[in-house]
Amino acid sequence: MLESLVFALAALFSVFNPINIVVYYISLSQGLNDERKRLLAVRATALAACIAVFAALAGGPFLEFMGVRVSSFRIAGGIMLVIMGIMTCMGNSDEKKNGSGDSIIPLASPLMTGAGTISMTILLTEQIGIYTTLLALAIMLAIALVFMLNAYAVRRVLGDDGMLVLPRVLGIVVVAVGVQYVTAGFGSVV
Amino acid sequence: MDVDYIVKAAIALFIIMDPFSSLPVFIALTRNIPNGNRGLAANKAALVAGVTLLVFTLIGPAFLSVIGVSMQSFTIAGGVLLLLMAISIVMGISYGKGEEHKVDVAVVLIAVPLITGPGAMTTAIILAAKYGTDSVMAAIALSTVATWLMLRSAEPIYRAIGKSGNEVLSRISGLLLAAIAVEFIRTGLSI
Repeated sequence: MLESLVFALAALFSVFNPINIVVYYISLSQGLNDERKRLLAVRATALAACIAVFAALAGGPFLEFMGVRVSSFRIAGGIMLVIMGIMTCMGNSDEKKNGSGDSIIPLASPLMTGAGTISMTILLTEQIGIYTTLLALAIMLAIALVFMLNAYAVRRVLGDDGMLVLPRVLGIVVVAVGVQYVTAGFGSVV
Repeated sequence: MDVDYIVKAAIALFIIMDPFSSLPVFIALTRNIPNGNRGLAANKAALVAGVTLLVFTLIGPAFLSVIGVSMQSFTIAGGVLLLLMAISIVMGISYGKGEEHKVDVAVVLIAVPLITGPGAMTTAIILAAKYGTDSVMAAIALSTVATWLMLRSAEPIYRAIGKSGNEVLSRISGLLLAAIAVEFIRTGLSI
């Protein structure tokens, strides 16, 4: 239980990429007063939690209903993770930053719970069970919220360099996790 | 710790760090700052690149084992990223386009992902598994210093080989990188 929880947390940490969230949170919350900034963080986390819990609960049964085998979803989810990781590593972050209007949308999804996190969640539920996955998600969302609420402190500690460097390193990890799932998926096919 | 290993690892890292394609970008991104400060920018870029590489080499493998990712998967992942990097170098697509014009940001972009990219990190980890961590630490220091010297001498080198010479060199190193990338993917798949 503890071992799979640590595994789930490490995997979710790399797809969540809290430092990346902080980067976007700072740019998206510019011009808001402190009250609204806090509200934005809380609302984004709440929405992200809804999406992630829904994926955890409904993802597996839905795939089963559609007749998708676990191995197929491992391959598909793995490909998703590879692409997400590549985008984090090499991507130009500018498009996502221009969240006009309600900035909760780019923040909650796709940033916190995008295709990567949703794939990861469903893969985890079938791998380590739903309860451990939900527990790991709750912890991870709490970590993300704490990072956002202390966004400026995080930036002070890591510096602008760290804020640019660390998300990219985690991006490589996401690619590797994706490759791992793709090969695992093919392993159970062949 | 073997001098032979250190030299081999340092050469491999130097090729992956590819200062030849970093140089034109470095000059382009630092053209607005006064001559004395270009050296400072080179110092910072090399420092960020070297430290990132060292830290990733030290804690990267432990993290991978917690997350349950095998070295093969990581090698394939690195190969895929490297191949994309190589393609972007050969096709002449540049990084950090449209980013802020602050020199600090530019310098970090040169350090990561241009000098210490996914390729260099993957290479360092793979070399550490092959030659031992201490040898690779020394190799990282060596290749970072070599890269730093190249960045320091950015202007004279650029003038000597000229714009088109640099262009050609970058394409060739891109092609070399593509070959290394395919080799990584094949190693990961063991075919």
